[in-house]
Amino acid sequence: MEIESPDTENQNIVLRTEDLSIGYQHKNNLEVVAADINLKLYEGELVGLVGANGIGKSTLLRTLSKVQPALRGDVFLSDKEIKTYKTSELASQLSIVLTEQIASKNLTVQELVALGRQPYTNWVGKLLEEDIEKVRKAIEVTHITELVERKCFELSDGQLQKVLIARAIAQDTPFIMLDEPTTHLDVYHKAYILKLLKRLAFETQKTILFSTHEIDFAIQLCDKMIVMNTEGFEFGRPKELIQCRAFSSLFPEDLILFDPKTGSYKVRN
Amino acid sequence: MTPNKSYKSIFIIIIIVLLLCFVTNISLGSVLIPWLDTLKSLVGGTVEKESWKHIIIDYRLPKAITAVIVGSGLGISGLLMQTLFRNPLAGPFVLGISSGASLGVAILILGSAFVGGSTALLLVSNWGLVIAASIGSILVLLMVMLVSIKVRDTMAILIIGLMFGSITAAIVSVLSYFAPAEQLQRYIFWGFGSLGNLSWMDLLIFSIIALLGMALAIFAIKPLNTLLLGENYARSLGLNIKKSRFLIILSTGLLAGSITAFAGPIAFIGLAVPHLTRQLFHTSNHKTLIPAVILFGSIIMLVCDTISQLPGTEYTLPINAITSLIGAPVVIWLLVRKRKMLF
Repeated sequence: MEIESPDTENQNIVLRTEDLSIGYQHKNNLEVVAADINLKLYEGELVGLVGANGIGKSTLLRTLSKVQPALRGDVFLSDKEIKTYKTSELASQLSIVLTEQIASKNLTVQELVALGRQPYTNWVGKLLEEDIEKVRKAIEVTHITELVERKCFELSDGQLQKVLIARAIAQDTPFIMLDEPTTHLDVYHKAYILKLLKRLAFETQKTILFSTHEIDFAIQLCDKMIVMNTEGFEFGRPKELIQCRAFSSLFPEDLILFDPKTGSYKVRN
Repeated sequence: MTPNKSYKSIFIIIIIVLLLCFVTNISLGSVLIPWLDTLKSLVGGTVEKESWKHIIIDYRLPKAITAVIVGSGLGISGLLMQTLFRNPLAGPFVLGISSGASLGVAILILGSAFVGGSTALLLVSNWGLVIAASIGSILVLLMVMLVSIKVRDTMAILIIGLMFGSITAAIVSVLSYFAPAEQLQRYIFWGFGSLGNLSWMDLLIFSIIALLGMALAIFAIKPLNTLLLGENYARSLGLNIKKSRFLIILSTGLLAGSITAFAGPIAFIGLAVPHLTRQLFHTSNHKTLIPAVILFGSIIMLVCDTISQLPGTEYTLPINAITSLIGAPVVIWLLVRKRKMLF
């Protein structure tokens, strides 16, 4: 049975885009990766971003996080245009989990999570009562309490991913963005991380956007999904997207076919 | 970052060790002065022989203080470079700072042969060397900083620093090839490094510059900790990367530049001290590491200087050779033991 989420009109919009075009500005020509993107992400929603390799998922994430400028249109984060944010202000609105390795694996888990409090601490990074409490909560909610004393180089990929998510939670931003948080993980840990994100979005009422290749898991767990394909992009609840056959046009149909009943891909016989 | 444990007891121990090393360093030399008399002359008491007091106050005390500044300053700049370049093998000299200083000194000493006469003598005074080394390192540093504004990639800056190093080394060899033997020897002697050539006046200026560099390093503690996550994470945490990079490079430049200017090129301390410190302090938090590196670097440099004095003999070995002899095996030992160097 599906529980319909409450009427979206009453909820707060955390991230909104208006006729957004993303891509790259070369000297004389414009390379448009995707155009007319209109998104509305609400508080407490888990949103999955799927699409084939090279379709522009990373470009979209980079544009939404102000790493690269939009070609056209606007991104609003907490009702303010993203290009008007200073780097330091943005740090209290948006936290990220990247695919790249952290530079120093000599950090302990505790230290790494506590680094999430950097936007709020003084010039030398002193943690106040409130910061320590937020760090403790982030560690608790991601179930990594038994890891806090460990060094990052001692962790498995799955454990490290949880720690990085805890760090983003400790940063205490309304919006969290994760770039392929399930790569390098086995199928159990893929599901584990995505379920964790689902629970975090619900419990902390943060908006969580992640890109992934785990389309079947995303269909089962996400509140909304963004599907990017060559014709454009679709945005909606997984059920609606299945109905409008968004997943069928995701990949060339010569090899795999989307099965709407199971919500997964099958290899063509 | 919260330190998991308090390192108070280790800090107290290394402060005591530092004080012991300091007094021992002063009491040993070609003339062995008993501990008690060393302490007495340091606090201004009466000493058995008046000449001892003279040796200690005018020669050994400034030398020991120089050793402390050189050791702590190089250690700090090594730590800063390792974090900034995310490379455990980075040291203060990767930016070409010391090659810049060497170039300045090489042009002064080796080039003075072509000027000739009394101007040459004037140029190749102690202060001439300091000024030439400072100008050389500042010029290279400015070039690296200009590049760092243009180039976003930190690794590229590292490589550019190494390239500057190669270019200056090449120019130095060309100069050495044409220089007369006497001048060449002077240059080689400068390259040995020396802690003992500083008067109190020199020392005052040296300490002011070095303290300024260390103060900047303290202001860089938070950015340095943030950079442990890598530049993209650091930016997402609101860090102004360019500003922080500038602050860190400036601090390193002041420290490594002034040290090379006043004490000559001192090898391996910048690279080895941060790693040795991490053996004792199992943390990457710069709030702990910076004071720890200051203390530890001072101790190592005092020990190296004590060894180079060959206590009881009239000979003094070049300090640069001693630091390499101790520093290089330490780095090898760390690599073999841990198989991978962390920072």
